[in-house]
Amino acid sequence: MSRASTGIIALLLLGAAALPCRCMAQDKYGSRNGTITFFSDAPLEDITAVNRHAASVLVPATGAIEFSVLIRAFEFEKAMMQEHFNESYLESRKFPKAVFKGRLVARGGDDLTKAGMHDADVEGLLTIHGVERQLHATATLSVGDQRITAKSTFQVRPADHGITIPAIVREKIAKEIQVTVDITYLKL
Amino acid sequence: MDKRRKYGFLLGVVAAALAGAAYYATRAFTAKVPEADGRKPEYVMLARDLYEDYERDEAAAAARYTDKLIELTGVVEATGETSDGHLTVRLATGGDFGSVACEFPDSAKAPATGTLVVIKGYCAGFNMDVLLLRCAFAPTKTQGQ
Repeated sequence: MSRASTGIIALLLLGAAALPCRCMAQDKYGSRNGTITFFSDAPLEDITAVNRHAASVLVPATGAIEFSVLIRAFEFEKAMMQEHFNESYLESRKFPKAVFKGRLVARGGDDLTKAGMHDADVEGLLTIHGVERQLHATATLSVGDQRITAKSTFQVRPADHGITIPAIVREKIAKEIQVTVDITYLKL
Repeated sequence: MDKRRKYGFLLGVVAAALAGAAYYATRAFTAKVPEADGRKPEYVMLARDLYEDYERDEAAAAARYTDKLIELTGVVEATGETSDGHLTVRLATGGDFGSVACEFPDSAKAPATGTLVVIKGYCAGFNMDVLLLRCAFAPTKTQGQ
């Protein structure tokens, strides 16, 4: 066998040995238009707002997940409620974004890199209005080819994040707000 | 008689004032968030210039542009639709990562990728992209005008 042939075979073997390492690389999935809806069910009024531009990154191999959401991108039906939300309650000029950093933990030892439906627990730190709090929630993931869809619903208490609701409108805003996340990630 | 007329007149004025106040309060309370269509923009610029302003100094750009109606000229990089049918148009900024994302209030006709467009919208801020909401298409200005 010539030296050239040996060299070529060695290179091919090295390349083959490297392949499993590349396959195990932590694929990242991202989205810039996740939908976050919040719903306040209060005695005097129901209020809904939608944000269609949540940005998020997910690493299925580790479960690492991060969200960043512009507060001013929450859209209300009424202009007055949108103004109060931004200027008085969330003070979005001072705190323009809500951020979540955490981890998805698949239930039953499931592997989030495998195609199919998965239930997972969500644990992490949610920062709203400059105040950080632990968040525990559940999520359902649908893992496909180059795409992952995730949905979750959980409750957030405005008071936990230093959000003060004036007494005059207290009966119009629920003490716990229902938050729904619906997001489709594409492989980056 | 004069006193009765006088008090009747005053009562009428007070009632009219209260009715007027109630009318305007109801209008203010139920008013919807303004759309861009038919309104004069506060800033007219290129999409890439708006993005560069945010990249250079996000806080200063936020103070200047948040909630302002901005008219942008730019090239369509991509179009899409939100999960509930709102058209989104991304304008190229020349950067590697971000763009200017424009969301329309309904499912308008998407322009072709690579088209030069003029879009008005209210600036919501910067989060990987500069985001404009409640957008509307404006007529494209021809060269030399």
